[in-house]
Amino acid sequence: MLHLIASTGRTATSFIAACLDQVPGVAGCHEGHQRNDDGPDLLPMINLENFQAFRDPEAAVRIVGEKRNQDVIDQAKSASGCDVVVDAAYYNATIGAALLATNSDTRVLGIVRDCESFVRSATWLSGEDPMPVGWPAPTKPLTARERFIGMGRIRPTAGPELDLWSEWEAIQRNVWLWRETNSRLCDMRDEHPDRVSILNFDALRGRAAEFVKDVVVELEVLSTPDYDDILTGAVDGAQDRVNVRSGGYQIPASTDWSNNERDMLEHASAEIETRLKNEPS
Amino acid sequence: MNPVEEQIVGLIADVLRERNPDVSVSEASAMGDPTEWDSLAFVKIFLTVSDHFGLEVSDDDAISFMSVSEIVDFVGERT
Repeated sequence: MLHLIASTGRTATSFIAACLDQVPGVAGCHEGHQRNDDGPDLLPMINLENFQAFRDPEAAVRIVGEKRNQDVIDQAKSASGCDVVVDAAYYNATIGAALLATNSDTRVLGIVRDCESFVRSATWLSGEDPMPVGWPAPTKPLTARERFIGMGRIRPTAGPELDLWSEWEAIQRNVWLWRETNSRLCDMRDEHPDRVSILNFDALRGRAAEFVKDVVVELEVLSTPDYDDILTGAVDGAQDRVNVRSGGYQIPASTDWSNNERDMLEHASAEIETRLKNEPS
Repeated sequence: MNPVEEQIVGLIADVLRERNPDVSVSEASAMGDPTEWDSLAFVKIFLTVSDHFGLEVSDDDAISFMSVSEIVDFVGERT
């Protein structure tokens, strides 16, 4: 059984994966690596395919067929000795719908962070970004690693946003990334309300053990009702996976953004907030 | 191997030999196999092959550079 955790990134997914990996019978992966980036690769890498899956639903089906098929899942279960594999990754927002359609036992948990703090934490305006989850400034010189990761990042493929893309700086590009990713999560929940749920990232602050318990409950990965001891231990054991953005944020608070950037933030936030409130019955 | 395939294998081998002089590249090679063909080498292969064949490429084309056979197909379509 393969479950997914999907988000924009910068939502503590490596920490959550490390916590889940300590739950009996569960192999917690972050972007295919068990526990953390130093763990064994349980699932084939997805990077460039993320954009392909975003651009074309048929490509998403093909990618799931190649990289998340039953043989791949069975191999991951065998290698980890666990019946349940949970992969937390940004690309699950683009392949999740295809996996839900083909695997009736898959569950998806989306984690949504507020737009402004995501944008501020998503990229560095200068210097090599050690965690490049979002779009850099268009004119920023990139390292090979930054460029490779960017090649798989979603971007507009049609319509007015494609026309505007070349004019947008990092803030607008990352507001678009946030809105588009979270729209995908809402789409999945609308389509499969019984198998897709969404948690607010703010709920993690100051209550890590409770949040991880929420994750476990939503994914239904622990059959025992005695969660608390297991999860408290798991959270304690995963503290080294808390990714603090070293060097701080280079993008200022929205009070210092341009009017256009603030307008885009407000529209995107309102759109996703409305969709999140309209929880399917 | 046909001449284009040979050129592409040679270009990729040149890139990867900067990291391992003994690396072996064939028409069956792909990203991850050999292991030197990682994400960092990928970008260099993408730029080197495109430049060699005079191709104008964008990041949208990167997906076609994940194996020798895909690169051969891509170059064949664009030249």
